Amino acid sequence: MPLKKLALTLLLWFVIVLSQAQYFTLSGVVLDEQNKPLPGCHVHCKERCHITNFNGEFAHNKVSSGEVKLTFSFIGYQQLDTIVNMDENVMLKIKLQPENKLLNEVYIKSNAINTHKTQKNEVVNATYIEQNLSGTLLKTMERLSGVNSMDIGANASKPIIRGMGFQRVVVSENGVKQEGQQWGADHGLEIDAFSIETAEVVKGASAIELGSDAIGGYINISNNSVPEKNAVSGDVTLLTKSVNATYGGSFFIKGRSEKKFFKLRVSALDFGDYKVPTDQIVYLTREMPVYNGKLKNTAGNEQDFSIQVGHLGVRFKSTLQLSSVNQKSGFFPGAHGVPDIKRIQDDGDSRNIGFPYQKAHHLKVLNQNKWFVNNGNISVDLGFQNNVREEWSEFHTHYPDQPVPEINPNQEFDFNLKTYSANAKLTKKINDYHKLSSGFQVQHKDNDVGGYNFLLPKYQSTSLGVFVRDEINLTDHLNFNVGIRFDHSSVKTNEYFDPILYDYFISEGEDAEGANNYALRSVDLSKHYGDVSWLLGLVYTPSENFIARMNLGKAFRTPTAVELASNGIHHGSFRHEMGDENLKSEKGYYIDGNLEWISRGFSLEFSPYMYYFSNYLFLKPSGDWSLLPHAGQIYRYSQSEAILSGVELSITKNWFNQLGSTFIFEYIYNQQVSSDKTQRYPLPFTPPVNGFIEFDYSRFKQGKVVKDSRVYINSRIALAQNRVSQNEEITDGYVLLGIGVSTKINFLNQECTVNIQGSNLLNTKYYNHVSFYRKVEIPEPGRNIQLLLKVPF
Amino acid sequence: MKKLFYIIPVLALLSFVSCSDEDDIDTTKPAISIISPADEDGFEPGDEISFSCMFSDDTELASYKIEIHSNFDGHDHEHTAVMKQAFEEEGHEWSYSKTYTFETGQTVVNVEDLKIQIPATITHEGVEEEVAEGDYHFGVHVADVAGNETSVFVAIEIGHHHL
Repeated sequence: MPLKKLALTLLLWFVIVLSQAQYFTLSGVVLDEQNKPLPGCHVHCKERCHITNFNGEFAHNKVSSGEVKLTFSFIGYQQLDTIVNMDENVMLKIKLQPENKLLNEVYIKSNAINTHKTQKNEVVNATYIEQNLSGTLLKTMERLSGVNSMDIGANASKPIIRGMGFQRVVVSENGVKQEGQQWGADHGLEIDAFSIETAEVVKGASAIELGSDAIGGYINISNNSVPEKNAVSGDVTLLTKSVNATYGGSFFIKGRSEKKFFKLRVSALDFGDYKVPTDQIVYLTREMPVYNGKLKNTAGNEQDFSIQVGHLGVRFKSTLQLSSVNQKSGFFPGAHGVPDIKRIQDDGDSRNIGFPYQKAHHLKVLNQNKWFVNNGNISVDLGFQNNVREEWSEFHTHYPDQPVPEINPNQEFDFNLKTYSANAKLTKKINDYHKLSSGFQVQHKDNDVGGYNFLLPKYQSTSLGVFVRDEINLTDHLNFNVGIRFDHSSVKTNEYFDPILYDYFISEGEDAEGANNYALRSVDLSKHYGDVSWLLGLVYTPSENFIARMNLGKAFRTPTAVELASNGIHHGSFRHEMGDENLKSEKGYYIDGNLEWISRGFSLEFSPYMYYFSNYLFLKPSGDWSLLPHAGQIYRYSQSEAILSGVELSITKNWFNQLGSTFIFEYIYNQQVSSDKTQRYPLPFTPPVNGFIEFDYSRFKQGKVVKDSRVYINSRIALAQNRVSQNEEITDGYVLLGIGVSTKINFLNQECTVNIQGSNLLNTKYYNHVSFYRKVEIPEPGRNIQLLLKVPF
Repeated sequence: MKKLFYIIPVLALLSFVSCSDEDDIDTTKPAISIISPADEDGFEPGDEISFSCMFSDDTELASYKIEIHSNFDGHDHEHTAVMKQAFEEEGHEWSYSKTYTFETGQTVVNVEDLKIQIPATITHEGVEEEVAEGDYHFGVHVADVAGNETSVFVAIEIGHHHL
């Protein structure tokens, strides 16, 4: 055999040497892992870039003889580099493998994993989200080990990864960081869930390319795939849910000529008060009835719009995207501040939104450009985001003498955040061993405030990050990742003097100096922070079935204006939240591992991790009483040494080639580190030990009318969370049951998707330890049956 | 860098060892049992409210705060700003806030008949005004030395029609 090979090689070489400088045609077809053609795939050949047609085909004429280097890339697939010797017309058949493990597959082929990244990423696609959509997008993603959803009622949620949330998790859309009021517990993600094509989740610190905030991890939502050439298509999606009588839908149309494409989406949702499996809520010893099993004033609506236009050049791709998300939803009034039965009387209407409620608008303009150069690419993203979040509550004065505002008298808070960002990145394969990426990110934020209440001041902040990362391909089995990033940020807050509060303290008998001190809610502040993050990672793949990853690094996060300068009562609680201008950057060292065993019909993944923070930043009760009316204790943004560790386990198994199964487990342990034993509290908002089990069957006969059917039954389990921080409630464990069916039905020659899903089927009364309503003793939503129908055209 | 390499294993150890330290932290909230005033109690401007209460905690009580303010927004959903103005014409809202510190080392404290004076009139910008009539919240917040906090609210009414 070796002799034969050698002879062949020699012969080939001989032919090459002999061949003249001629022109040949290089053509081929690109297929996906199921041997289906991949339209829209980028094929880089020398200085040019082709895009495969509807049948996955490409052709490159006039190729001179000799070696030609080809690169095939397609979103969600592993890039493939190959060298072809051109001595005649060549016809290639290229098969791309998915870059990531798609979760709805029971098993995957061992070579389908990106072995170059030292951090494991998991990607879910639109089909997966549609099939499993449970409540909110993040609720759907809870079935990934290590991801938890912090819910605000039935229709809003935000992510927690490895026990870290708020500013410690970056959510981005097409790679550009989403900026809202992510520090607050009562606001969800302002992203149209219908618009998501893929969502990528990375657990663990991902600061190098995403900025220092991504200490816990990140979620990148993409919706910028290129439509098929010379075609116009689209779909209509309809969604209805029983738990809060949701009616919603989305209309989508996309089209492309040779080089230009567009996408347009309009979505709307309207929902009523959600059902809770209880007839009474007991908050602060007050018993509050729940009329008709529905939580009063939790109705809401959402209207979203987005448009994308793009240009595809030979070596250049550019898109311009404009999106607008508008949400309005009510808060349960009975526990908004002092519990009050009078505010929760049934008004016979479960779809109206009375006080208190919140409104959020998110406007985004993104311009993304990518140039394909020799062995690499350059991308430049420009973005503008305007996030307006308003809280409306009946004008209840906190001080007897506060005059009623003339304009919008019931607007309690109005946060208006403008974010300008510019990112640039160069990725280049230097040689067979090094792939270098380098770039910078600039961001400027301008936050304005309004409303009759005061929580945080006006602020402006500017940040700059510069990074270099090298992927070192040492051997076929061993890869290293080395990265370093420097961030600098500056925060300016504006002085705010509260004359009404001054008068209040004077009337209470305080002297002028004391009253002045209290009434100065914020001061002019100018702070600068800078620090370095670094990462050392390795991937070891000794065999086709086994993969081991390990990362060691340092991450940091600069204090935000909220943490430096807030000073007020966040409604719905009696906490007087107070910033501290002397806070230092939060610094953490981390080590994490990921072991993966994959064989046909079975996969196992084990991920332990550990962080050490020299000064973890969180809101801590101070023991001092606030002098503000309606307030209890002062909670100060404080820093403490802390450790945070945990393990995640994920197993998939296919039984007898028939039944698929998934098991997920997560355990988090964290603690403040102190020489004083009485101060070793756990960190707040830590999810309990939790797990998820699912069995599914999809081996149905493929019919002409009905195909790709799948049925599943699952259970989400959480143990009690007994390790709580001060003033957190111990939360009992729970077991929830869910079932679902998804199928495709051929109707008028269109393949319609139908998904029916039931969650919390036993209508279990349970509390989510990390949810917004946990502290006011409101259980999570009850049984939900939902139907999603998607009709393409 | 060098520091890091020994910090991590030490902390890894610590994280498991420290599990046994859980008993030393205090997450038990103090308890409040208000004897008076009771829900729906009515008072007249100029009356004294008698506050009697039992506070308890498993470790040590630190301090408490009494807070009284109007609950005039509890009635109606749509026209509160307007109503608020209406109330202002009829009198001046009363509010009260005071903090009290417990003696050190106490786990159970009985407060008996602490008198809180409701003023008959309030002088506002040089004008003597009646105390506005209506619903008021009588709030009690208590904290233990670890910062664990409990709040209880009693709904009272201040007005002349309770004669």
